[in-house]
Amino acid sequence: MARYILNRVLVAILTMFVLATTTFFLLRLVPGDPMAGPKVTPEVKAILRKHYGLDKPLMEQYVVYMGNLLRGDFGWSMAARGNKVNNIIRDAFPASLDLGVRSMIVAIIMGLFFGIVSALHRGKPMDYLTVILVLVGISVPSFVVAGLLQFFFGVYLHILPVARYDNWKSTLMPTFALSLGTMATLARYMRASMLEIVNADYIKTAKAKGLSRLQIVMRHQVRNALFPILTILGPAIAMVLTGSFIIETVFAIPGLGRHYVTAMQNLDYTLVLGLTLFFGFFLIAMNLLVDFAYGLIDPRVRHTRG
Amino acid sequence: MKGFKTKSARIALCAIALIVGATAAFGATAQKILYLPADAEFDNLDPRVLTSTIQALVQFGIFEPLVRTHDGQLLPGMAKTWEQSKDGMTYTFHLRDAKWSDGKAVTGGDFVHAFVRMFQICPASPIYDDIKNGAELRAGKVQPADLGVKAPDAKTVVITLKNPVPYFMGLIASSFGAPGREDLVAKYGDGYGASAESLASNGPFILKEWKKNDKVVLVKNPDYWNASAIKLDQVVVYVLPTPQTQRNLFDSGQLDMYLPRSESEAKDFQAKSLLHLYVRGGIRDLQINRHGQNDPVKAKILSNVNFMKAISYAIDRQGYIDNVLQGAGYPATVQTPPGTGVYPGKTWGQVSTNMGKYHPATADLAKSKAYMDLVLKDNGFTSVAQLPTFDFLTSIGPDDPKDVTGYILGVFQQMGLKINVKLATGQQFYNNLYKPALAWDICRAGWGPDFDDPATYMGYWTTASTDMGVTYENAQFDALLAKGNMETDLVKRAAILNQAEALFADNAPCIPLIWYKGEIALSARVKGFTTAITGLTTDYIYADLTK
Repeated sequence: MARYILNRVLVAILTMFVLATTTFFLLRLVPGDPMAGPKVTPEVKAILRKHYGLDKPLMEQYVVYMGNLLRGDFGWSMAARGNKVNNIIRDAFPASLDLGVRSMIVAIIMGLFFGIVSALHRGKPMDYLTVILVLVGISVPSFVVAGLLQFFFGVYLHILPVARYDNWKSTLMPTFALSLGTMATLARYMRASMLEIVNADYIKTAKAKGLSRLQIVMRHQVRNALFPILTILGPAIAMVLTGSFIIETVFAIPGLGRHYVTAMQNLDYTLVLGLTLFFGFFLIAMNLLVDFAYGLIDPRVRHTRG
Repeated sequence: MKGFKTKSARIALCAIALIVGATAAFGATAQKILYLPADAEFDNLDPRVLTSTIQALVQFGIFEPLVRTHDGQLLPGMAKTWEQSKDGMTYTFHLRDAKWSDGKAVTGGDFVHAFVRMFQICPASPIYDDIKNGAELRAGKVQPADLGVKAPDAKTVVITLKNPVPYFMGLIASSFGAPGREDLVAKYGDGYGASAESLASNGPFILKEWKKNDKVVLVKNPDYWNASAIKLDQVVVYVLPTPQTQRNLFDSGQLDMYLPRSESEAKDFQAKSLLHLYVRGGIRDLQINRHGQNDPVKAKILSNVNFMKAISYAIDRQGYIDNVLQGAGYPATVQTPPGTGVYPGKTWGQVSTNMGKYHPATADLAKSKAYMDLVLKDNGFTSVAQLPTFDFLTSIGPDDPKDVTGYILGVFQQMGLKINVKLATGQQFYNNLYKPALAWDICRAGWGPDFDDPATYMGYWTTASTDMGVTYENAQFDALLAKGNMETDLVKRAAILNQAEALFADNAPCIPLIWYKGEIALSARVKGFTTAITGLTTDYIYADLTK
């Protein structure tokens, strides 16, 4: 197990290195200059390029960047002048994390609940209701959900704050809007996964042993159905925790989400790199955790890999 | 009976005391707080680093230049008085006793530092090239001490110009002209201007809190020289990237200002008597790249002045404004909007003789076709279908109902032109627009004024200008503008500018389209809110709140 963990961690570090290198060079292939803008004279542009080290040979820039990266320094943002990329992430991440954790809790609880309920009532009205809910959750884009919620509860009914993120009441709508997609996906997988094992041998054995229905469902069916869920949970958590562009802009939440879009529009090399690596780190870490969790939950994984 | 009387009197007394107490407490806590929206994060509030309308909203509140404009009036600022030399080339400003929010005195040196730093690092510094040795300082040809901004003592600032331009006071009333702090720049280095603690305020308000991507809180500056005229206790600016969210907050009473994004929205507010109309600066135009992206066939067509005219006469400016914009604009037939000031008592609309003369307000398709036939003949073609495909650069997609792009593409189609739409947003638009890329044949562009004078709408077309991807490259036009800059008789100067405009409208690679109407919705409790053509376009400084 220790060797397995070490192996996975080394691969993760290598992945981060490859991610940093390819993003660094790919960004430079994008045509344009981050210092361009209205009224920027060639002289001023030259001064700015020199200030940000963009006048040096590309390989030298790469070495400097990777050196700084080892010390955990993402450098200065090129568009948000005077702001360090580390500070931008530090300022914006807490709001995204807070919203992400809330949404993930709602998504997991509700998603699994709907999945289990619909699997147990397969072919009955409860099942169809869930399937419809799931379909709506997956196919309606979040900006529609967010906009409708905002109008209905905020402007029309006046029972929730329209936007901004400053008390628990203002977290309700964004949490629900952000969790909807993940909730629907989880419910769908959970339902399929539950139905797949409903005729498995060990369920029949449990029934033959005379266990109650609740015991069979909770101890055997749900536990075994959770494995495929774990696989999709890793990336889903990484996605939700690192911010959503749409939810954050609609509800004016000062999170990371909007930076992903604006940084690329502004060709902000350092900010794009910093965000990519930050998100990449999260994704890889979550996948690692899921792998370890497999080992913990599933005895078969533990034994074959041990 | 007596006892009852006393008792009731006591109760009445208590009740009065309670009411008075409550009112006093309420009066003490009921602060006048104005809530404003901003479309994007401010990133940096140093006036030498970033200044667009977004930053200006805060910068004008926390910084006080030498002078300030408010509601069309020039007001004293850090300068109590000033005088101009006879030749109009030297201005001497006498500073009042004023303090920065950290307690230091505002000195002439703070202004010298600000202007030197502007020419050294600010992208927009060419606007100030009328200052002696400004352009030279930017190019590194002279030392900072040679700049025409000097402080002979702590209470005096002397600015020497290259040209006696009449709009100079308007220029230094801009937030670029705000003083700066050399000691804080040295202390915070690259991070200067990006945090509340790195900026000291000397304006009507102090920057108290800055939560990135969320809000900025300004509080009234008790030491401001005109503090008694400032009615607001606080101004809170929320960063709200989506217009719909701004609208929803405005409708639910949590924002005091909203800029309508469409005419139907404006009508809603008009019905509620919340809409205020104002004179707005700026022009939306089409520009033509005579170099044709180094394709000789395209270059020959695009540099043909009749090609420009063929497009211009095919555009129904009035029809588009009436039917699509529902009246939210005016047909632009020259670059400078008629509301622009030119000399006391006159606006450009009363002086210019070129409006409607070179570009039509309504389409004239027969004329358009006649011009196009000339283009075809000159280039050896027999039909429009034989013309090459032109790249049309735009930062707004044709699906946006509020933008002219969709209409213009329709005009091209009607003319039979083959067009390839290049949609580029943010920085990518500028990367395509400017040299070295110049990756377009026709471009949807425009101009916002830097100061209230026709010169701002013409100066960026001179051969030396780097404001746009292409320039006019007309020696006569350059000479006329230079002559206008040297002319101190304002009536004569207006005549020279009128001549330059006629030349430009006749054959420059630029097609004026629309001047926009300014529309703003304000909550009913806001009083004394004004607007301006340049600078702080939505001026809350002297605003008040009722209720």
